Amino acid sequence: MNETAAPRNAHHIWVWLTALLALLFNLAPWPGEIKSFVPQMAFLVLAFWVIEQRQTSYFLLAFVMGLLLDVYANQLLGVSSLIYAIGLYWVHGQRLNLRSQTLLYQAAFILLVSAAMQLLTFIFIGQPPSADPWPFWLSPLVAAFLWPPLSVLLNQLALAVKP
Amino acid sequence: MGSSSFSKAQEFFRFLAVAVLSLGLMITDYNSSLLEQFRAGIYYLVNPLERIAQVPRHLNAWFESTLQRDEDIRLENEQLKLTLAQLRSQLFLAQRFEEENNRLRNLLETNPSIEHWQVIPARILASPGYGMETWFTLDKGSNDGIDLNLPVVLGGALIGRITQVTGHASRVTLITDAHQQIPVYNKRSGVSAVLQGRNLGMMRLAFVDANADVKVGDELLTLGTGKIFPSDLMVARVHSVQSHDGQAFLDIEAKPERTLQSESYVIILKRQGGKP
Repeated sequence: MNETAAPRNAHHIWVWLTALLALLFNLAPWPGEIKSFVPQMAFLVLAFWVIEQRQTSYFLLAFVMGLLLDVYANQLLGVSSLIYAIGLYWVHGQRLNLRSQTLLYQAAFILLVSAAMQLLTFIFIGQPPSADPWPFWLSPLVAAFLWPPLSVLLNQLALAVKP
Repeated sequence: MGSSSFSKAQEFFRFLAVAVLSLGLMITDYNSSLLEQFRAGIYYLVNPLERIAQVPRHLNAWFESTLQRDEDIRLENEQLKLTLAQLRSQLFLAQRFEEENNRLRNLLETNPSIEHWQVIPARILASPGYGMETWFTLDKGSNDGIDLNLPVVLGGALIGRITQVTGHASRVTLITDAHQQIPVYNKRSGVSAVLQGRNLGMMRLAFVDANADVKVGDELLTLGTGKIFPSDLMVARVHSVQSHDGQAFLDIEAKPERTLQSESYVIILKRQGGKP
């Protein structure tokens, strides 16, 4: 048995746990006018771990999170998985560059990726039922604002559980 | 090369595998009902998560109730809500019996009787968000005898049907969901049509002939032909009627008779002695 396997597995458990916690954030019963602003927290957490980790892309985790989200929201199966995978692939391609950049630069990149994901959501399943269309299109901005504090928080965790 | 085993090509193939699998699911789910069992299986995983996600809401409700009243009053209130729901269901049944009798007496027609429907009060466990619901979750599941497609009523009016069931919970899709279709008839004129959900709390009465007798305020009741819903159950009222030159059908919007406000309980109807 590889000696580094156990701590690495423990690290993966933290990744799964934080992604699950982030998913709960999206499942919470937010008031109607706020719900559309709430960004894809599970994706943000996965994006952080992809940037932070050198050797894992977490596509499987993205697939699982997407499926859970689709079943929860009663929507077309696989659509969130696909959109998460596309977003994550983009982040993965830029991870080396992003790792050396400031949080502000990373937040701008997250804004771009989130907007693209929102556009894909609109193309595949349209907007979720809401009286106003604009909160749906502003949620990438919220994602970008949340990125720095989320990144700092997860970074502390990553340092604490580093194998 | 430190990460040679983690090549770009390898990652691309991983991404491709997930993307193809997701696309396959999307196409299959869109074109058929083959994935219903799969979806129901995943719902077993989602249900505990959505229960946990509702904890802040329940904590908030609990905190407010303990601040305002003492524990006994809160418990009594819960009990009264349950009793009220049961009494409402009995009243609703009594009204339906009366209407049924009148119809039988006056029209000498035979309708599927709702006396064979059992009423099951259920507590609302979770909903996606205030004011934008197209579904909600109840605390009754297959262990309580709940099956797929059972109708759910509130205050005597149809509000949805059971679309997913686990052992201890079930998911109700509201009649306003864009995928819902209910055969109904106009109580005043007798015109029958299909009521379709349109999200955002509205519905559309489809395939009504341009010359049909439909007015704003007309009551729309279940036809009961599909064996899912009992007949003569109040569903919605006509909200607007528009006719356009050259079009064979009227453009009719309807509003559900009852919508979820702050209710904690609803009624599930189950045909006695078997599935709907």
